[in-house]
Amino acid sequence: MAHAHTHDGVNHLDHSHDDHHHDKPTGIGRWLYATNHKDIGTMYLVFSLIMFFMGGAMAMVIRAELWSPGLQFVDPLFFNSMTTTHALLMIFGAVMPAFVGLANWMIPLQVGAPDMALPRMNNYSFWILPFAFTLLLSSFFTAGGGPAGGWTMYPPLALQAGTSFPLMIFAIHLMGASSIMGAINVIVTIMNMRAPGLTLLKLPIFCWAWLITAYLLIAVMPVLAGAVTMLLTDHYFGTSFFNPAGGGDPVMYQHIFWFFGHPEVYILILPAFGIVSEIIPTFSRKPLFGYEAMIYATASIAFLSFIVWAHHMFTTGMPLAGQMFFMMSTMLIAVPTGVKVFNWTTTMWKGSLTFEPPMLFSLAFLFLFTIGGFSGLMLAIAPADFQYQDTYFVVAHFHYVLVSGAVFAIMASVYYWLPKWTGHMYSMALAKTHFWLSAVFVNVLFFPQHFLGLAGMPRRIPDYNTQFTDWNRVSSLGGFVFGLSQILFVIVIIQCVRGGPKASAKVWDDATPEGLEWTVDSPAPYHSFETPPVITEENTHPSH
Amino acid sequence: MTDRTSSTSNPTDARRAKARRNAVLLGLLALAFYLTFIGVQVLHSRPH
Repeated sequence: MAHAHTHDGVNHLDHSHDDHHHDKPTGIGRWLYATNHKDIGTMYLVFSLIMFFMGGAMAMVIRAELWSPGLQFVDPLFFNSMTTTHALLMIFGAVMPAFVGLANWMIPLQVGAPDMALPRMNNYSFWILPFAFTLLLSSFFTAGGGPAGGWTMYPPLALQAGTSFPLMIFAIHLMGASSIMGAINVIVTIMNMRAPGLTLLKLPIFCWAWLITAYLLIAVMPVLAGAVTMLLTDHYFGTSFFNPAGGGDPVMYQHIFWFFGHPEVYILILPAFGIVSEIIPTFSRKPLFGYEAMIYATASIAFLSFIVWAHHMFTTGMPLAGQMFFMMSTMLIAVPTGVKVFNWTTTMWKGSLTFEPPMLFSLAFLFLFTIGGFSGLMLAIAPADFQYQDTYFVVAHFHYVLVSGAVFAIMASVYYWLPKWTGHMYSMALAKTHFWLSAVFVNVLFFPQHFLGLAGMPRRIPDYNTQFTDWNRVSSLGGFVFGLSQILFVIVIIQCVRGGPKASAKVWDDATPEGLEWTVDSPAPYHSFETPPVITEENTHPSH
Repeated sequence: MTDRTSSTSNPTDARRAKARRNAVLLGLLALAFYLTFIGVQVLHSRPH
């Protein structure tokens, strides 16, 4: 077959070029009317970073208030607004958009497609988000303040909010619509836009993780939308889905919410698994151990995530058989998760390891996510959960999973692919300083919360008994340093965008990065793979 | 299967058309989930 060498330095099938596609829009129109997957990916990532800092500022308010027992800086209602909005911003504004941004940037490059399958819908998916979060945050300026009933919005508490209530509900509908459109785009891009010869079992593991995540999103975001629609009609249209006075059931809301909520937890972590599965082989200079097992493990976790939801509700009262079922099914998730942890470890076994910033963050992920997994197993034990429920132990658990898990994986991915995006290498010293400060102080921040929870400190309170003061101060101190150290992340990114040593196409030349994204120049050309690349053993992930 | 080596057809457009059809189906699936969950609750919360 004839080959042609083209502008992006990749072997392509001999094919005529559509030169009219080479224009690059400029000015504000480039971003407002963006259809280029790289531009939209960049917007998602920048948006996510802004939300990360806004949500982080709210966390700082929480930790400042908890520095001492009694009330220090904010009134209790505002404190509740902080915990509620911090969660909504971090989940729907920071972590999910960051993964969608990474999907936008990397999936077309990894599957050899010129762009996402539906570029205009991609534009809508992104631009819905700023409006959604403006609605949510504008509620702080309405009578009664921002939403304060917790991100789970349990009735009847959530229904007692003021004007913030409909704003939050509409914001969540918009976020859901954005997520569903993003997920559809990911699925059809991977299923329909792959380069010829790139079979499913040759796909990079990041694509596999995202493909499974996208199906999860399509299955459960409508459930959340349904739940909040029913809250809205209960509040304004006289229905009583969750109102016992009219024949409804508030516990039913919790079932519906967590039927969405537990798969949502895996939506937040499966792409992180994909990222770590890309980075560890590169810096171990070995292929990923158990490629197919990793895919099956991811799919198993996704399936199991649908049959564990009531472990969030053990204390609502349920039949013993129900408790047993949800306890056992939850513990079963440890099996495929264990497969993953052992496969990452085995990938490193006898590898030629180096510790660049992406690898450091991936290793921290491996250790700290596993701690979060173990505390999750403790929470899965129904009788033990009666003690842990609604304590700081739960807060410690999910922050280990989501901060030192999901957020660390996002940072690993940014440090891994940033030179591919910008064409420059970044300051390794500064990035490693960022890593060490983050890795140490994330533990100072969250580990003491295990002790506080086991000793009985409830979550979501601005005040506490004096015996909890010491560990709260340690936790707050850890929080302030962790928060401040994230400024280094921004400095590294800005420096890297503005300049720096030229990055090669392969970026990590002395390691073994695999995949089509490393066959295009750095920075990746504005239009890549306009003609499908030729798939060879060298430029794809081995299928074993 | 589309002949992707042909210079007379545009294989990317053909794949996009298929992707659009699949996207509509997935969108309808999401809508069906949404309506099903509310529908089941409507039935569940009617006075017995």
